[in-house]
Amino acid sequence: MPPAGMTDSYSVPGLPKTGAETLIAAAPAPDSGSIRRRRLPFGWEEARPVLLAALSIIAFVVVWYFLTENRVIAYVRFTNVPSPVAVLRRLELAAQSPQFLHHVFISYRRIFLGFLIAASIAIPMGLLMGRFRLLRELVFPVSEILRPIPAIAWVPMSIMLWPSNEESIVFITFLGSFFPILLNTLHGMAAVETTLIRAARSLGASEGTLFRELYFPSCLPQIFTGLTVGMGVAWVSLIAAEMISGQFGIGYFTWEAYSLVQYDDIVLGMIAIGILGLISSAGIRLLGRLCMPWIR
Amino acid sequence: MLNLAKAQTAEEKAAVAKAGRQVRSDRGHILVDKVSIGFEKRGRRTPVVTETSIEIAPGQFVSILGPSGCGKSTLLNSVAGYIPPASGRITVDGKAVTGPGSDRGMVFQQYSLFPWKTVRENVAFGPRMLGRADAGVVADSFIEMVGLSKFAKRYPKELSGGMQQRVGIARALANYPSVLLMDEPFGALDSQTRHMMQESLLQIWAEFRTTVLFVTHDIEEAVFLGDRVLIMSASPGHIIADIEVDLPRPRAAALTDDCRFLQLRRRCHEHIRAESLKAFEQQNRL
Repeated sequence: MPPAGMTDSYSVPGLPKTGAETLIAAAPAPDSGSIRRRRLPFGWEEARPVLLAALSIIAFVVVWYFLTENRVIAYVRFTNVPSPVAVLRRLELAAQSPQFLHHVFISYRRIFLGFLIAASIAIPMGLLMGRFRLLRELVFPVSEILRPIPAIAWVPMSIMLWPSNEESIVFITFLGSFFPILLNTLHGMAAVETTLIRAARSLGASEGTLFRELYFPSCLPQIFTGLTVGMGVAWVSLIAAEMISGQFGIGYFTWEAYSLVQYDDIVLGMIAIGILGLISSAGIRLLGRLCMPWIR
Repeated sequence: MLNLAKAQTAEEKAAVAKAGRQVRSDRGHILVDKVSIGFEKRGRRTPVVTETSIEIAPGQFVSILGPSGCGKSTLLNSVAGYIPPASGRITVDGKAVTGPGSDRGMVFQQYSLFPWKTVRENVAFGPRMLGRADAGVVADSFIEMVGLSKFAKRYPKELSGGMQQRVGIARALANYPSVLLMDEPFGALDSQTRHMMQESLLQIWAEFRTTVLFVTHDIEEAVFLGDRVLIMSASPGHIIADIEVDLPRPRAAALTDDCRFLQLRRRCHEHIRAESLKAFEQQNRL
């Protein structure tokens, strides 16, 4: 006998009863099958994503190896592209070279400064703009004009504005992350529950308390969306700025490698940028989970 | 007020906590004097409540009953201080209502707990805002009163709807308000939980004896809980009947079979039926 619940889903009104029963008998029992699969000893469901990820990365490296070792030319030219073996050898050297690590450190410092300044201005500003209409109507038009300008387009202006190269690159990084954080904070403020504001005020909360204990935590999910997006844009802006006007930094390293015909270093720089970006966004995700324990 | 440090045994502690929770019975006099409330909509003022007057004695439990959309919640929100009346005057203990205040505790229909605060932090919020150093102790006492001590460290999301509303009641009472305003607090609960909550609210109220203004559209609930049932007309709302509920307390579930209860229910029903029909027609016309 099938479970009681199944009879309903399979019986069709108007169909003779025997027909419905045949349908039930013909249908495979989906439940027992899935239960057996879940009980496999090596936990296929948990291992699957890890195995597939490994497979996909290995496949990528193999294709890369094949294309570069054979110097394939199929409209796209792989003649000068370094093979994974060469890059790996270069990585070993670079990991011990203080110069390479210095580039990484400089880039991280710029990201950290620019991003931190952006967050510490954009978040309070977003909260205040969300709360006070006058401020919002006053600031929003300017922000809408400046927002579509990519941070890279600011490079010449930035060099004029700031006394040193270092400050101008931090400024570019700041600009890249500022607007995503501001806009998402504003979205967060628009979504604050009126009931919660009323509840807090009935319990005697002052305006300052509302900002600290209501608006801010209520906006945190959107703020973290903004921080994640902002971090991505900050890296894009930083690398571009370093390539154009830097003397240090991983973007400068990558561009310099091209100028000096150090093709292995180009790939090394690219991989380093990818990994650094990955670490940054993972850091923000982790921070988000720590800051919002009430969300799962 | 609370003197937990000196109390030795658990019984003494319970007694002290209970005494600490009591509210002075001369507080909580509500006066709503010829109040009209309206909303601006595309330049035109739509009246929601017209010329309504209510007087509620300290310690009374008053249900406001009316069809949906009749303005009963709006009236409650005005007493809470969220919506200023267009005309008329609202006073609580002789003081004019000009905005929300901790003398009037509010319990909402649902989702009004701060999701980022634990049960304990939610309940301690009010006392902390009033600058009480023992906010945590007060919170624990009220959480115990609603029977949720085991869940003090949980987040609201981890609780059932009924439990969340119990926290909501505890949070509102933790400020020792002279008036408790309840806006269809059990409206979103299933009927089993709802009956349990009604009884447990009466138990809490028996201990606390604060003035309660309870808005509902459920006739049985209004009669079961209240000393008085005020019935509001369809929009724009005003009071059309003031029915005394002289049923004995403490009240239990069995009371709903009592013939006096049934009589009162029928009286309310007759009033509300005509108004519900009117409200229904109004909504259809829109």
